Amino acid sequence: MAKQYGMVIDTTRCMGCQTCAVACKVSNDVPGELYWAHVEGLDGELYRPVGTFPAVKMNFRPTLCNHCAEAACVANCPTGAMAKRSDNGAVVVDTEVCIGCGTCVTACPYGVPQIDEEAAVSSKCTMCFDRQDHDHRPWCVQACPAEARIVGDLNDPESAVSQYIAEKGAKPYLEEHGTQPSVYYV
Amino acid sequence: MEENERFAPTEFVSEGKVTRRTFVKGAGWLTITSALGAAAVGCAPAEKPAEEESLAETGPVTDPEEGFTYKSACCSVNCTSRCHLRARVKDDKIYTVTPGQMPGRDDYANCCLRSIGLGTRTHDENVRVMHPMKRTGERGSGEFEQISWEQAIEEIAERMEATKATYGAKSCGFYSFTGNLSKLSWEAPTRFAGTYGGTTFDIEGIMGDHGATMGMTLCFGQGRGAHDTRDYLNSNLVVLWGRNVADTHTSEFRYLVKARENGAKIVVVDPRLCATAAIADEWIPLKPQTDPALALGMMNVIIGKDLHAKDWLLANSVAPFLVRESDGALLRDGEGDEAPWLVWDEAAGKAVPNTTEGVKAALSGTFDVNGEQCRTAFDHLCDEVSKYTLEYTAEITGLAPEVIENFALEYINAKPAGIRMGQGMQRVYNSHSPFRTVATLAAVAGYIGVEGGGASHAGGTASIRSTPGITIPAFNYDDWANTGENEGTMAKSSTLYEQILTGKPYPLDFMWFANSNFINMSPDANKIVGEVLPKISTIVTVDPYWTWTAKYSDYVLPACNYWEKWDFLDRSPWVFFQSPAVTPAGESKSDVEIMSLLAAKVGLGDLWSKTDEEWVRSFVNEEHPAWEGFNFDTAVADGIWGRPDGIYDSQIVFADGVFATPSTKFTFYNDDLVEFQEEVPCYKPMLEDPTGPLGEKYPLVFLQYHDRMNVHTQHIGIPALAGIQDEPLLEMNPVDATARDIADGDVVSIVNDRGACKMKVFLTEGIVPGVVATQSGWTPDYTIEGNYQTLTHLTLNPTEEHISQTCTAFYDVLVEVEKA
Repeated sequence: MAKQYGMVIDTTRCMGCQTCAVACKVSNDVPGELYWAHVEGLDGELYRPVGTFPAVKMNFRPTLCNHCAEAACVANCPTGAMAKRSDNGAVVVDTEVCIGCGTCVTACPYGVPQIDEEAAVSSKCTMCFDRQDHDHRPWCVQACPAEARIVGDLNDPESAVSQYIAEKGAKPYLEEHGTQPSVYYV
Repeated sequence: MEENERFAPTEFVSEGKVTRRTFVKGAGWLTITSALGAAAVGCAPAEKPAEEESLAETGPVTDPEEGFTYKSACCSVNCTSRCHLRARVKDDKIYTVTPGQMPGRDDYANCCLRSIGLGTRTHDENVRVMHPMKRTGERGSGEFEQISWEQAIEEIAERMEATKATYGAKSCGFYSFTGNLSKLSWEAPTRFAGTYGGTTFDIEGIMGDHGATMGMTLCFGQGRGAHDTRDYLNSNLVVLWGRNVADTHTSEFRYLVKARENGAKIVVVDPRLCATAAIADEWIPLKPQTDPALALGMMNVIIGKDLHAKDWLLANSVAPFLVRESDGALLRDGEGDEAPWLVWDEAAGKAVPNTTEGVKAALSGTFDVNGEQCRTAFDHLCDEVSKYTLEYTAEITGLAPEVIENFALEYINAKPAGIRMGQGMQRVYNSHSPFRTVATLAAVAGYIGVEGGGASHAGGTASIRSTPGITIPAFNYDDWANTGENEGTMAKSSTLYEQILTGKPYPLDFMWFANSNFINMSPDANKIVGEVLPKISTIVTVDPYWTWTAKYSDYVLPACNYWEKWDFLDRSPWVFFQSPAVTPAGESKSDVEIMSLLAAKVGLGDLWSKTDEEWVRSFVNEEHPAWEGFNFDTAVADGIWGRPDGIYDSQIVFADGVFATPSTKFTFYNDDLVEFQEEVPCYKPMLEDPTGPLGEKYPLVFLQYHDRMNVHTQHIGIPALAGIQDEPLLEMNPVDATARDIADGDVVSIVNDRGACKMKVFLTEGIVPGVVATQSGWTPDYTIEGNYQTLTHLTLNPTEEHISQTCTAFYDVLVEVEKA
């Protein structure tokens, strides 16, 4: 069985520091003002606590491409530039083929793909599949100071990521979209 | 922005925009061919691929690490961590920064968004000082011309010698701050002051960290002392008191996560819901500067319910020491520093030395000793504590009485509970009070020296095993410490402004700023710019970046940042060995190279004849067991050396109940402070008290805090961080905003009698009403107008000047905020 790279993010460990976002941006040389990794407020707007003083709570949801099994961006891409790798399940864009039409941007229920205006192509997280293929951790995972991210092969029930998902009952975000994300959250 | 242009030196704006880095494509990208677009919209491809080709064809991808090397540095910019960083380098360029391994601690590698961003900043010619620069316009005009190193050193030496001839060498000040705490960078300017006979400064006062040191020293006899964060796995309750670990001690955060997952309750005490509170079970939102009152109120609950640790207090603290009621002095058995203290022996019914074998001393009581009425130090503490009823404490702190009572009871019943204290609570006028009072709370609870307990301030943990028979030092600093015929004079930084303005006790006429954005990080910027700096005939700034201070200097010299130079840092049990990862930007030089050039020009070349690498090599005393198996080249390649005589397991402090205080006891009664009515820990209202007369004009307490974007000012404006935040924001509770007709995102003026600043408002329920807060470190280039540092003040505190020196009360500031 081919691999499906996936990730579980434990939001109870996240302090919203954005090291994931910056590690990804700098290390992957994400173009222009784009970021592939983001941090959102878990229950409300980022850094704006929910509730009324003093009964308030602030928590975070780091995001990246979900590398869905049924990826809407792949299904809707008019050129075939957006594709899912058969060997590791990463959803990737072939920038030689992509025409930057933006269909993926609107098709993705999570709003993940963005257009790199200068190159006029779609731009998104690769799950650092090339790093994982060579046993390097994705940049966001390696950099996370809170150790909130675990990555690996979802198709291997013995992998650390599969075990953590099973143990904690982790779920994808907005599962109801039906795209079968490969990123899970505690 | 006009102001930006006004401040911008010619070089600063001439280099154009940030250049985009070349995108390195993995070979794997090229193997991916077109795949199916099942529901093609719009511009469909000419040929629709067959459905079975819906997955990308794949093939082996090249190892993305191919062609890169890794180089080490210690992140020495003075957040509380000192992380081992590894830069990913190719073709003399840093591509990214990654966490470096800490030998002996596999779980401890860390980096953060700031350190990753600083890697890119190393190559950003828009912000780097690229060449020696000489001012051509008025100070602060931003008009500079590029000059050669030769000319720069020649002219600076001439001006320095002129100051020396007029006022003496002492009038040349060398101010090295915490911008780079690695040994060579940090100490080269102060070593130069020594060799030249100039002045250096005890910076902890003006920087606003000295209150913690004073508070710790009063109680523990030492300025630092912390439980390893891993020790909180032994805690049932962890209190983060004024300490935003997430943003200011990031390397330790993971252990708080583990402590909570291990069942500990996490409580954050802070006027702001800081990022650390994301993993907290409870937020105690007290009013700023009321921390001592809360601690006293908690002691009142604990002692009132007879839950205090009487045995611990008797054995390990000054609690039973007898105080003479007539003058507040502690009774001694004889004269001199060695004389024991007197305690009341209950069995014998008389005062005896506290060192008496087997003595059962009284914790409380009034006694007659040689006709003098005496009471115990503990009773004096209780006198102060007894004022802090729940109602009174609630009134001061703004907390509900039941919140205070529950917190106190949870704390005392946790057994053990650990407190991590932070500098956030001590940037106040009575800065020595918060750490002192909170530590005393921990002592009353019996949590000092107990696993899972403590009242910790970073550092101070034993990390080296002593080796029997070894008396030589692990480090050989003899050459570095040798300043030849001269020696430097250390001046207080709290009185720096006054010294410059009055020329007393002696004038300061020439100032050398290194590792320091002095204006941005010191209080009362308008006073500095308008009154203090004009008194200085020559200002030299040595910095990698065009800081606010650089723009007010006469000469600006380009310094290497930590990726471009040799350096050395002792962070036992580790030692960092740093070598250049990339070629220095422009004409940058290391601090040692710069001081050596200046030294040669004024006849001190003999004391400055080593290269940076030679200095680093000279520090290793290879005969000491610390270096068993050591190889210099390997250590440089690894960037770090884990000492074989190091301790890598979790450590606590004061487990033996012995303290570095005069009596070796935990000390909450200091008769030296009777004249200030502060012999026991106490709470005093803010200097700028919102409930006092000034509060009628300026009702809001203004805080500046260290956040995720910055350590001090070095990380400001890094393009890779701009998507997170690109300007300072003023946090404000909606209650205060509504009263002023202010909406989220409005531009507001923050004003008081000293200055003004304009920025946008960020409304949040996560701040105590009556308090506004902005992120520290933003430079005038990023505020809409002015700067937050024009609002702050440096007001001397007589008690603190008596103890050592005043700590800047950066958070003891009142303002009014209005829609701009």
